[in-house]
Amino acid sequence: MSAQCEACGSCGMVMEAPEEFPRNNLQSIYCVHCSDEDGNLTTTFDAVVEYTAKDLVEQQSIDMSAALQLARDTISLYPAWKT
Amino acid sequence: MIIAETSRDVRKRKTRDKILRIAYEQFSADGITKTKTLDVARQAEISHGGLFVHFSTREELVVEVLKDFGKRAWQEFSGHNTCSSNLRDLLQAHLDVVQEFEAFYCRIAAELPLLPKSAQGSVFILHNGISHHLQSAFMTGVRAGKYKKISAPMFFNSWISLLYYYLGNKELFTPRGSIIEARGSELLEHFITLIEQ
Repeated sequence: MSAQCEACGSCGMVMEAPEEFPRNNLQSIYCVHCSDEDGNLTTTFDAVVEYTAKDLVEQQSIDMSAALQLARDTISLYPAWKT
Repeated sequence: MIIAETSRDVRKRKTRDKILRIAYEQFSADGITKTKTLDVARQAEISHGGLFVHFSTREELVVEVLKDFGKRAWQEFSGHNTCSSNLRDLLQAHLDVVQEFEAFYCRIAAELPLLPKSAQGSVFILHNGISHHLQSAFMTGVRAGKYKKISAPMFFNSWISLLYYYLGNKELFTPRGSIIEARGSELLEHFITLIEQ
């Protein structure tokens, strides 16, 4: 039996469509953006934080330094980055 | 990466899911900031210390409840025709999702500034997903001359502000029943009037 993760363990993106999983593998715990074809994590914590903060600024006009703090505090609790 | 689950893992996951479900219900009923982890543990029929085996801090529990809620809200939203370029349909889809999770949304609207940054981040990241769809339809309407030339973030923040003002003060506007059912159409029509040319 395998665990199917519905939200990427790295960036939190909800994964629904097969193409959002590496090689359409619905058992992968990371999304296609955060992993290689075999589902191995390829991104870094800083890259995910920066991408998410930039999106928060563009979509909701949040101040960049506040967006970075929100992203850092939230993403640090995601499975891939939890210490 | 594929992770094989042992029967112990399955039991652990079921307990964790139970804690998340109970915490979500208690947050909805009593408030996110007011709910005690001890009460969640009692309701889940585990020891207080047992809860912290699954969530190392109260903050982590709040974030995980918000993440789980965000996942379900997003799935509900994307179950609608979110590729539609009809803004009215998308705003209605958003209202439908809010109504589905209304008690919890009311707590978020009332308590968001009081939550830890990590929890606030979970909410704003969920907003981002929804705003991508709404803003896309809005900008199509702007280009067609249907809507006023408002910046995309201002458009989305105006919608959320209106919605959260009513949700956060639900007891005043609609003490009984669903505020979205009672006032949703009025909010949607008012908002469309504000942005239309």
